[in-house]
Amino acid sequence: MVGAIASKTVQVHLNRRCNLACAHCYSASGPHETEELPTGALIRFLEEAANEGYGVVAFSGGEPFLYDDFAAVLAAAKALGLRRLAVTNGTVLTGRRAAALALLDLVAVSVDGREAVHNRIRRSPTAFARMLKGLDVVRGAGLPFGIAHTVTRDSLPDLPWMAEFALEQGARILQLHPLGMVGAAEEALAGGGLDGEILARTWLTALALQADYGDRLTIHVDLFNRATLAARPDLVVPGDGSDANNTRLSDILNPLVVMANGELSPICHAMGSAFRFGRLGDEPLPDIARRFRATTLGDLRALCLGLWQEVVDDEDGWPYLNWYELLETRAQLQLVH
Amino acid sequence: MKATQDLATKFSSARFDKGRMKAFAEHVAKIEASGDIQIIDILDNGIPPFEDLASVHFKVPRTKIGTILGDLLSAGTLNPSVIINGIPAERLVNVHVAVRGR
Repeated sequence: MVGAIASKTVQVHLNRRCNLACAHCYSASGPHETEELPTGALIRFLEEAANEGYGVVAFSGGEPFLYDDFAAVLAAAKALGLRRLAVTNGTVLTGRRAAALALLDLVAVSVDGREAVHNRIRRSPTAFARMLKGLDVVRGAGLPFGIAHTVTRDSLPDLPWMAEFALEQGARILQLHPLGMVGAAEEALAGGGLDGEILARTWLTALALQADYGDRLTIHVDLFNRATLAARPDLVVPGDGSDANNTRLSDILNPLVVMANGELSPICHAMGSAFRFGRLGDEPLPDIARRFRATTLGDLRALCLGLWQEVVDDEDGWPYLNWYELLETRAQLQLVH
Repeated sequence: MKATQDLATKFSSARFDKGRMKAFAEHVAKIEASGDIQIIDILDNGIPPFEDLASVHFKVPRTKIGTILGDLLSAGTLNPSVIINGIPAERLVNVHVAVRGR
């Protein structure tokens, strides 16, 4: 149920184009955004990423099913032996776009709560109804799927409903992602940040639900137990690359994030410009990886180690924390040497 | 609605005050971090000092019980009222423990 990403994963934000403009969107995507990755360069990059040891590619956006060449990219990733995941708002899964589902191993459909909450956050009065139709299409495609839920103050009381909804819809996974105050949320949901009490309530609710649902539904919470982190800094602090066995980028950096403008970011989408360390298509990934080891890695490790120490020393704090939001916030304040 | 789902509803609503919620969350966090433990239930019947909250039911390998309970006791997590396999025992844990294997 814990928040660490175990599989060596490349998170690819294909675009920032989306038919919706959600209040919590961390990439501030929307109908008028035009950024998107060049298909040819992306496919070459995925081959290099596979050579660097990454085994999973997770597509997001924007809305990935609005990326014109999504099926071609998925086919290339499949040929490379990469596991292919995607998260979608579920409202555009028609015709040729829906055909891309057959090339995925797992898809997650975003649901923000009951209809009124979902539509308010999605800023569309029909988003929930259209998402339900999308779930019908996903079920029809026969691939395993999950429900991705952003936990907000409004949606917290509905988590038991969310679990029941996920099960009724046939989902295998319910992923609970506590709202981070980045992207569109900084303005649209100002004041809606989640404190330690809300995070603890989220964790305990998920724990009770998991005990209830057992194997029928896997509940994953993007939070960390501080006591676990104290014993396992390796869960959040990248290795220093000195181990002779750590020859590949994936051995020291997971996940690797590709932003819709092609920039590479370590671990999180919103790490800030100081930590971006290359651009897809500008140079081969092995060259970027060498530079990352020589420069950014040291600053990243210092940042993560410093934050880890603060977190484990904070014995008066709440026991569950949103590590990635803390890291993003701290990274955006930091100047790299 | 099952008891745990009802409990989930309580956790996700504001029915528990902040101080006791924090105490219970810290209690659960220490149990979770204590080793080879599988939490299988949260029960809506607390044991002092958490009468109005809940207790945790977890499985732990028989061979590790001593170590894990010792860790929990030394961490100050535990409360003297304890049940192991349904039998109250002195100075054990504030959790319900199910023993798996031999």
